[in-house]
Amino acid sequence: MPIIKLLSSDEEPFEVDVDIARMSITLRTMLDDLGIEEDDGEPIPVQNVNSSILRKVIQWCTYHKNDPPTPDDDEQREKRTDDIPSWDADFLKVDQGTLFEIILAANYLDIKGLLDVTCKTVANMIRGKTPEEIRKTFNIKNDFTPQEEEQIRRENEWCEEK
Amino acid sequence: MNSFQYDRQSIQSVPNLINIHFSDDCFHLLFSYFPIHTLLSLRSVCKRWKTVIEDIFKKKQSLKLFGSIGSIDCFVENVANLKISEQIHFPKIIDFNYDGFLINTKLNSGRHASIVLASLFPNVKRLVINCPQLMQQPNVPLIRLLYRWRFTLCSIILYSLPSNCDQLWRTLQHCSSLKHLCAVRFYRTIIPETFSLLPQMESFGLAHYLLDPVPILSQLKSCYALKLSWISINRQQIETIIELNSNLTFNLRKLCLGLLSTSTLSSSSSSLFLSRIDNFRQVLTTICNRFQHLTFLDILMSDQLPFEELLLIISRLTSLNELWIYVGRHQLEDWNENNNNNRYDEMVEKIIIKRKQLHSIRKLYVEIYDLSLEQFRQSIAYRFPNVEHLTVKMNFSFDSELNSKIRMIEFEQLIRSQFKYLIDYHLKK
Repeated sequence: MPIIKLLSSDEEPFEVDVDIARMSITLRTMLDDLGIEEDDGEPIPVQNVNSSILRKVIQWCTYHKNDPPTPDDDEQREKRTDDIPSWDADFLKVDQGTLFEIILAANYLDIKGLLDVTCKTVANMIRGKTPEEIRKTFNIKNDFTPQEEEQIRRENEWCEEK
Repeated sequence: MNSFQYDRQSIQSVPNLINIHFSDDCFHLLFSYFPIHTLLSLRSVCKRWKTVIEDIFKKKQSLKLFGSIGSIDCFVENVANLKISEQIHFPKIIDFNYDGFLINTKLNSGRHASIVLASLFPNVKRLVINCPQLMQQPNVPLIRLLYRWRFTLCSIILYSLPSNCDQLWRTLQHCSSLKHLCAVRFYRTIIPETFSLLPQMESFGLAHYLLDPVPILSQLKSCYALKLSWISINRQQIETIIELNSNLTFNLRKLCLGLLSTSTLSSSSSSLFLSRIDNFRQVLTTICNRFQHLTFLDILMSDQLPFEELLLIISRLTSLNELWIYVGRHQLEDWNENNNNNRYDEMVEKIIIKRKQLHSIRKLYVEIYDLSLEQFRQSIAYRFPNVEHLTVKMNFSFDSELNSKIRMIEFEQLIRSQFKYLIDYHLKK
């Protein structure tokens, strides 16, 4: 199996199977554009991902390397969040900062499966909570003025469940 | 904030991680997991979320407004099942889930809802509406909504009518981009004969309409997709429509016939008597003779014609590549060639075309009722040899759960072995 080297933003090198690296559309494009098929000595910089997150991303990709391709989003279809595989659920039992960094890395590296499962995890943290509970969960400051809050409350009045 | 960059230092010093980490793109993805009514509530978390969510709303082009869950059930049963819905951007019933849905009993609070909806969703192109209270006087909020969306709307499914229909027609006249209209539950409401939007309709659906449909259908000069259900129409009326609107014979590509009254008597009663049994053959024959460019035909409800006869009539449509049919017990009474009591011969008036094959059909949706494997092989697999996309809805009476599963496996094996051009197939119970 051909191997390539990836270099995290804090300059830690990672040796990765080419097929695993190619699960990232960003890396795949880079490899194709540069005509790289295996390690030619020069590591590929992954500038926006640090070593601890890149390690997690490689771990996820390695576990899922034989998965069928993720289907394209269908706008008409309801997006479920209750179908996270148990391995992924365990894998994503991390602190919020790490979870969000994995999302950013998945977005930057364009790994749809990982992006989907991480976003679902955050969606599940939001689902069923009141705005105040959400603020508490994510340490978000309520930056509305009382007038703005009243305005939203009035706008939402007609659509709140009885 | 559009970059994916993040800063470790700021993470350590500021606890609000999600807003720091997430770009708008990430928020868009995250919020795509929530229905509209949840997003409305999430706007009040903070200014950033409000801005992102309202940006999502501004981009939303499809809105389906329902007064209650019950009204969705009705809608799914009566509208989404109608295959013309495919033409008005509601693909398959299974996909018809929650994108753009806004379900809430308080939608019925009318005027205020219409103001907020129009301002939050300024770019609605496709609208489904089933909120009785939005349609009532004195303000008829629906009219206000339609007027606000008059430049963007291209497709409307109206599930019932407002109390002031004249105002509705006048407002719809302003919807210059409207190309797809499906009117359900119109009963005895008079659609103006000179309704100037009708000639520009590219797809049109009419269901639950008790009056003569000829004045309406004869104005559909640009229509390529037509869905008719719970209306009365007979052969003579079809001829009259063609006489008045010859464009329809050239333009019509997709036709969905639901439950029809095909009586030759005029439909002046207050209710429809769905007497397809007597005259549907004539109606279908006329349709197949006069609309020869049809590529899609849905006659799922036309279950009273013998199967052989149905195939014989349909075979005149040489361009037909997608067919939705029902095959049940009574269609196949004479499927067995060894059956001496061959009613088929009588029914087609001595024209005997045994084992007719329809080679043009590439997509087939078939609902089967109590068919054996051999019956399926002879009546479906053999007759439609070039099918590439197949959906089979299976109904079996008196079957246990285990038997059903075994049958599904058997049918799946048969389908795989019999259709040599098959690209995909779905078996549904």
